[in-house]
Amino acid sequence: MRRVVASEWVKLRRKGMIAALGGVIAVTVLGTVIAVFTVSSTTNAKSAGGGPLGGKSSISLAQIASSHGLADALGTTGTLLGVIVMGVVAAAVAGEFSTGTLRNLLVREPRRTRLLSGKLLGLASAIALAIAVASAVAILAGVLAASSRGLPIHAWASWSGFGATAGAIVELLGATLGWGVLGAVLAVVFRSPVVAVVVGVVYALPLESILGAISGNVSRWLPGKLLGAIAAGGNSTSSLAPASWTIALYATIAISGTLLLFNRRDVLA
Amino acid sequence: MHLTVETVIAVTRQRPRGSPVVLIILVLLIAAVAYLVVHRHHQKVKRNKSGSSSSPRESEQRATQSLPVPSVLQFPTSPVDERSGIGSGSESVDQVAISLADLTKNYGARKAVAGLTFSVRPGTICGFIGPNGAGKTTTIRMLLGLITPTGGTAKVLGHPVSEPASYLAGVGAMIEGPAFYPTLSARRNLQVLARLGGIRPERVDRCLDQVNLGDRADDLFKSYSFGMKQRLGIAAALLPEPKLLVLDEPTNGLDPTGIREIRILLRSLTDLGTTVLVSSHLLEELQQICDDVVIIRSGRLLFAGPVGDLFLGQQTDLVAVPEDPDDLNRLASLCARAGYAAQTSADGRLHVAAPPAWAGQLNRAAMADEITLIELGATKQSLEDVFFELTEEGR
Repeated sequence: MRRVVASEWVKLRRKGMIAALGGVIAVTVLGTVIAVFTVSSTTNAKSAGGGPLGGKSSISLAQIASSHGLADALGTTGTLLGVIVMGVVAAAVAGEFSTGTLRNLLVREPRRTRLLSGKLLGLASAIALAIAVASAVAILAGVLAASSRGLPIHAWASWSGFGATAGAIVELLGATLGWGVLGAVLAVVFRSPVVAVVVGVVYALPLESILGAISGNVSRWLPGKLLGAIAAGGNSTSSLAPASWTIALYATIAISGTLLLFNRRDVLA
Repeated sequence: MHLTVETVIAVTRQRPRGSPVVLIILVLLIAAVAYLVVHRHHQKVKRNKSGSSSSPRESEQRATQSLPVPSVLQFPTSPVDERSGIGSGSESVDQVAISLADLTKNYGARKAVAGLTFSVRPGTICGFIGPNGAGKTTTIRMLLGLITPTGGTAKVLGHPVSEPASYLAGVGAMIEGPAFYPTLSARRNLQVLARLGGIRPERVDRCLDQVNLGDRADDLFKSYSFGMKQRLGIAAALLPEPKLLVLDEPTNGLDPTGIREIRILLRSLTDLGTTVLVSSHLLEELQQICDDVVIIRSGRLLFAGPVGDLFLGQQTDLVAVPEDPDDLNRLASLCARAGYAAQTSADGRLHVAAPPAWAGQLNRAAMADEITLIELGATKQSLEDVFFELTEEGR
């Protein structure tokens, strides 16, 4: 497994991959700064479903001034960040099929479960690193933005503030990795980067919104909505714990099914 | 910042944010371990089944006995068999690098590979020939564990193809052209494969030098010409210092110098004991480098054996060219008197349907008749002639 992860890290030096991970950092920083700059003195944060970059709605002054104000600002990037990560994983995995590089990889590592698991672990570790860097930069940018607006952010520097921010980073990471699992499933099913990314984006953005609009109850079971809830630390769709457990169940089923499909299917590319 | 016990307790109660996510990770880890256990068990059951079920075992037995080769040219029997180790599958598994017994692959109703049976002896270059769609690449993919056979059995380096992990460390392969990451350099592309296969890093530069890409190792793959890409594909196949090298059309896109270099490289590898299975459409090239050939059409075996045996039983003609073209008819009637039919061709040659051994007699007869011959010899059929003869028949 270590070999597969090490091999995957060599591939991460591709320009496209570096640009995509740079995009993850940029979106996190931008989302946090926008959230801080658009602080409203009237909005109730937990009442709506879409923030400046697809996460929570804009944050109220009271919330931003609380100990979890920075955590809430970070959480606003959830959905867009997730969709980007889904695209990155889908393109990276499906690209192996479409370019024919998968056959080279399977000749050197024929244990398919190990190959796919290692590949996903490699990608997950790179995404985790990107989110860690993004969070660090976003926190710095958030503090600077809040200071420039003269917002009261003393509570951010309390122990409860640190705890909330650290929790938000873990939730953001969990949610983006959940999106990554969705990308991997689509890649193995469709074996084409373009088809996998298009299907993923269409599902995550318009389709889930339409389904959610038709019936509010359905939202509690839709993966995208649940991942959004995890990224935001719980929202009007679902609170954190049930969202996390449902996503864990989905992810287990999705990963098992994907590994089964990957193991059984002939490699014709 | 005021840190008190009350604050910590309050924070823990208010925002237990990370805990469900940690639980998710735990659940995923448990699921992964459970999957691996189930998968391993499944593989073990599969292996046991393939070892005991009747049809693969029967196929195996057929492979280790004497199998009739469904060929137009029958594979030569005993003495040649023992020498060649190819074709009938009469050899023990230890003596062959590759052995196939009734190997079959169906896609729905279509039979891509229909009961292929042949074997390849170690330390030789074996050409794998067939028209487009004959099933060459499908067969190669089955040998590399990329495709699961529908029926029959195959062994590579003594291991069944159902367990590719047991033999692929000793196999290098280039299938259907070179496939690499366009925005990585040649060196990085090989590093990906070297790390994946646990291959020593110094092999990367060694292999790049072997195919004369050392100077361009840091150029992006997408900037390479087709010939250079092909060389990189061969370098990737050489990475694990393979006991068996499987190359699908390795000389595609190479210039004559490149083709010659590859020929020399393959020969030097077989001198070191490597077995090479090479498919190509350059039949003249294959005739020069191959010890053995396997010819298939529509997924069925037409011939398997040493290149020389391919020409056994093939019709050979004598060709005679008189110094004076006016002597052609006299020379023809001279042959007719001896009982051999002769035909003149537009280029001033006489084709005589006589065995090569009759050439001396013809020469003496021509001299006695005051005909001076400037050329006399037997026509040699090329691999291309035999290939077309075999593959066109039965169409």
